[in-house]
Amino acid sequence: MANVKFINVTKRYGELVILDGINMEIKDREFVVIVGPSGCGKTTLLRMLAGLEEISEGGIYIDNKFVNQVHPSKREIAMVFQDYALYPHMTVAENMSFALRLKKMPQKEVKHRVSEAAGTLQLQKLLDRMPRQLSGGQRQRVAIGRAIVRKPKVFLFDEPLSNLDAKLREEMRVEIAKLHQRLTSTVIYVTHDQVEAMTLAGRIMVLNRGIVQQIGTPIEIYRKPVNLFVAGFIGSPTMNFINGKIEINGEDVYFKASGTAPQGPEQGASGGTAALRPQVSEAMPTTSSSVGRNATRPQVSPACAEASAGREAMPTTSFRIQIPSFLLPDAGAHKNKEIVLGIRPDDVRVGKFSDKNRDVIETVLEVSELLGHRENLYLKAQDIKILAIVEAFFNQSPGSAVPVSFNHENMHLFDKGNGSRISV
Amino acid sequence: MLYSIYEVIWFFFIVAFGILAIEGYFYYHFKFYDRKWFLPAGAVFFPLAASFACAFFLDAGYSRLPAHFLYFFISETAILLFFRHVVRGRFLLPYLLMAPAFVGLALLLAYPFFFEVYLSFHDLKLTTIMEWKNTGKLPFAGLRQFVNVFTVPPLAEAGFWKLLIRTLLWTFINIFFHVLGGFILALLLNNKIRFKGIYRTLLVVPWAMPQVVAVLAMRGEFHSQYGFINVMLAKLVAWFPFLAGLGIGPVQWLSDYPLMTCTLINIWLGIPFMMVVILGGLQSISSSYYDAADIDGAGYFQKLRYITIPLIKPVLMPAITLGTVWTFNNINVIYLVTGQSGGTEQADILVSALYKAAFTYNRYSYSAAFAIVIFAILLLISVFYLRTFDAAKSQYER
Amino acid sequence: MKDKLKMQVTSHYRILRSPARGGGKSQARKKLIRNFLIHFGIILFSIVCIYPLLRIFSVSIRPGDRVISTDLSIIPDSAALLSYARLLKETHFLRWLWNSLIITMTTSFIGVSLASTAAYAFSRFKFPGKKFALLLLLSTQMIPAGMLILPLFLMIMKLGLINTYLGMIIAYSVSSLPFSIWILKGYYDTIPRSLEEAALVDGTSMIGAFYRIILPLSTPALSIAFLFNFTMAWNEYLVARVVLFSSKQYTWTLGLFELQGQFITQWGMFAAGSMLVTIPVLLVFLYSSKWLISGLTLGSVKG
Repeated sequence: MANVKFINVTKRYGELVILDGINMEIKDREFVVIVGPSGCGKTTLLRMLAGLEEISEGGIYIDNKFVNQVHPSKREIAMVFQDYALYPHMTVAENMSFALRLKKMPQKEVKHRVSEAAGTLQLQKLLDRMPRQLSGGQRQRVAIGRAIVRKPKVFLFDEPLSNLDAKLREEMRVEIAKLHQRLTSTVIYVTHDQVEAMTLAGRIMVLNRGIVQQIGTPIEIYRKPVNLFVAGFIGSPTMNFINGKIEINGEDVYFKASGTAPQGPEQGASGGTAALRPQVSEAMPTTSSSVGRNATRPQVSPACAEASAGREAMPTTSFRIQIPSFLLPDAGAHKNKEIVLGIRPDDVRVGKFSDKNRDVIETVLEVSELLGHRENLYLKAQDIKILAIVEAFFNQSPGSAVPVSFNHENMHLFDKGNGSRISV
Repeated sequence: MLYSIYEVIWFFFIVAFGILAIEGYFYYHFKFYDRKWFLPAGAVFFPLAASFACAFFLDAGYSRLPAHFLYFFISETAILLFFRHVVRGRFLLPYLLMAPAFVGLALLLAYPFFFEVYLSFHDLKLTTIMEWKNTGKLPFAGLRQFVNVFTVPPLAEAGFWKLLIRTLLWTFINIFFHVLGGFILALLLNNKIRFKGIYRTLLVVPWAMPQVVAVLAMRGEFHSQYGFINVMLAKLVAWFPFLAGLGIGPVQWLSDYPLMTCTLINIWLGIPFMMVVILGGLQSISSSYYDAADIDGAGYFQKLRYITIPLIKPVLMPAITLGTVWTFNNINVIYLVTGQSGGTEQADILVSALYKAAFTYNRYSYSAAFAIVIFAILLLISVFYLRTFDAAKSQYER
Repeated sequence: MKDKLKMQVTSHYRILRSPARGGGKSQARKKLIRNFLIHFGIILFSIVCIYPLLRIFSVSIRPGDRVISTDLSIIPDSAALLSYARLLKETHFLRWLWNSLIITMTTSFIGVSLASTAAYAFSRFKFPGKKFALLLLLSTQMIPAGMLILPLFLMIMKLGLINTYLGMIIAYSVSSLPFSIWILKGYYDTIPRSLEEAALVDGTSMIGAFYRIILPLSTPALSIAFLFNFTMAWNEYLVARVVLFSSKQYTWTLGLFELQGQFITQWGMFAAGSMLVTIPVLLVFLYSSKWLISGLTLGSVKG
């Protein structure tokens, strides 16, 4: 029905830059999830698209129409708010038909559309209730119903599931996915929950501090995160990060570990590496859809640098891992640089393997968590923390030695200085 | 010389709309208002030109030139600011929403206020009022009225300082008992008890009753012969004669202790309001604090001291501030109890003295200066209150 | 919105609850004693609160010759409605009530409608001068009551509106405005903005969202503001005393005051009149008292 284009969209409050040059083109009928930690500007972007927030710079196009100055109701969008924003003084039916009545649509048509939407969402029995008589999940459905009846070109969802409990959230997630299949309209969905992003999205935009980190399909983003922030933000449990350096010994390339890197988006957000623009360089073939400027920024915040320096000062007897050459074709260029190796917990193999695998790392089990079908192992190799996931039941007590190795194909290497990906 | 408000409005409209038309043209066609120099230049040049034009073409004479310049300057600046901030700005809607209320306030509160300020620098009293009516001129008094406020007593007996002390005492005692009574009642009502709704209904009756009726009814109860209190006292003495020996007996409340009578009546009137406010505050305190305190082993009074009082402070402080201002300004009770002709002046506080000075003794300018002094005192008190309130608030918002 | 208010109003009553200790039986007894004390205290206070009202009622139904007496009983012997009959026949009481009603209703309506839009501007918009304007509103509360009477009187006189409804309405209309704005702003602040945004997306203008969403939701706060305006104008007499001079144009406050202020106070008629004006106001007040608590706390906390 409609495509959406963001062209260099920027939002400023005085000196404060909330969104910095967002560029993206969303195709018709696409389901795009904008994901990022709280305060990254994702909701602001959505509200700008809805016309609830002024656009400081750049332009937004819906269906190839420039809409910067268009009133929200004329943009042919519908929005589902985080707190649902159901009008408390109107019944469910009145809530759903409010927009249509404002448009002076004939009564019959209004009724038809409301009952149609109510049918899709199983709301028939609730039409005469007031919002306060509904449960959270029902309110959520009414909010979606209110969006559906308008038959908009674009659906906007602003963290719609964050007020629901875990079980209901899963149910509604499936409902929304089904709904998208049925409605075949463009959906833009904002969330901070990477599970929602992974499961719902056709494409994901990862946003941090007002800067687009990566845009791509869920699998691209999971397999080939373009920088430390995306790597830490997407995937649960979080990827293991290990500090170290590249060593070259003849033909062989090795990674020499020296400590645990600050993990995940939390540290990233406070440390500074995560705020960096993704580096689109030749060495890093990014997915075709990733957008990012090549602007270089101050590389690393002093606090972060200091912290890592402190960590390095500690005496460690570290391990060495061979890096397959297909992973890092131009290893020489990265010699003597601070490197972060990322490995997802699922790619940490536990146990002795055949001789072929030379890089067995001796670790000590600290804690193990049983999750039913699998088990999280919190391991420590000297002072490097590693999380591994194994099938249940791993019958070892804390303190026992556990040899592990990394799945070579799925190792990620990042430049510690600017956080960008250097491995293929 | 202050024009009456209608002359001012008329003048303003004529001048403003004339200039507005010209400047609107400039604005829309040349976007002059975007230039930085335009505001100061426009504010000086246009009025200068207009006032000279007045002098030339309207034969107004050069003596009125400064006055005209002043009026044009004010209206011009207003127009320029109007263009700059309202018409051009993104703030048109909020200003439009506020406009009716603030125009009303300006006409019916601000204008009278400034009129009083004007009066306070002149001399309007019974002997000059006819002259003022006929010629519109008043003798200028400078700061004399303000000096008089502190030196000449407004009433027959009490001077300013005595009244001030009486007022402060009155305010303090009233507020103290309002809060104390309101707090006790709110604590009592905040229990799980039967008939709670009925009790609450009965307890707000003094507040809900029309004040005139309430005060006059209470005044009746203080009547020396037929009032409830004296009837009860007389009966007590009749039953227990030894009490009379202790000096207990019917009291001439209204003539001997008028201020005390007024205070008792006002306390009775004011407790329900505080009770309602405090009750609201109590109900907004989460019960988990009390559960936690129970586990920590706090007793009833400890809970009161460390949980209830600190947590209702944010609700209580604004109510106390408002209550202080209202009590300080409370003319109703004192006027209704003692205000009739021949009534005593022993109970008068600042505001009622002000009212009597103006409408019983007809010293208008004097009372205007008096009112401004009272206003200043109140402003000081509430600034002090709000300071402490802000301090208390920021303590919790951390 | 209402949910929120309800939650605030439905009390938890644990303030006096003491931690569980001691045996079951003694605790039950303790509770009994405590409850008795609480009831006793409240009943005592309640009597103090309503006794004067009862006394007026009692006076109003006394036969003419025994209006003034030291008798303290509420229902006197040979109760009669003589005073009411005399009041309605010998004075312009109904006319006074009518005058008061017209003036009060009009001023309340004007006051609330002015305040509702102004408070909306304060609650939802950022604009230069906002803080200053709020402070200005607050400082109007410091103006002594007697101060504005003379200029208002002169103004009304110049307009030729002495002794008219319109003059009274003009004099009253803005006096509760600052307080009403304050209360309404506090209430609007609790209404989530997303409601208006949803309305904007649904196709209303900003003003439309205000009229269709915010105003209907603010009924409790609007009623409180209305109540404040109403009681202020209904009970006012200082300005009325200056502006109105013919007995036919009096508001009831002036009328009753006159009955009471003559050489021999017409106690019977005064009491009858007081009852007649008090009962409706009391009913309105009590009806809205459940909103009153939440409204006041909202206004003062959020202010």
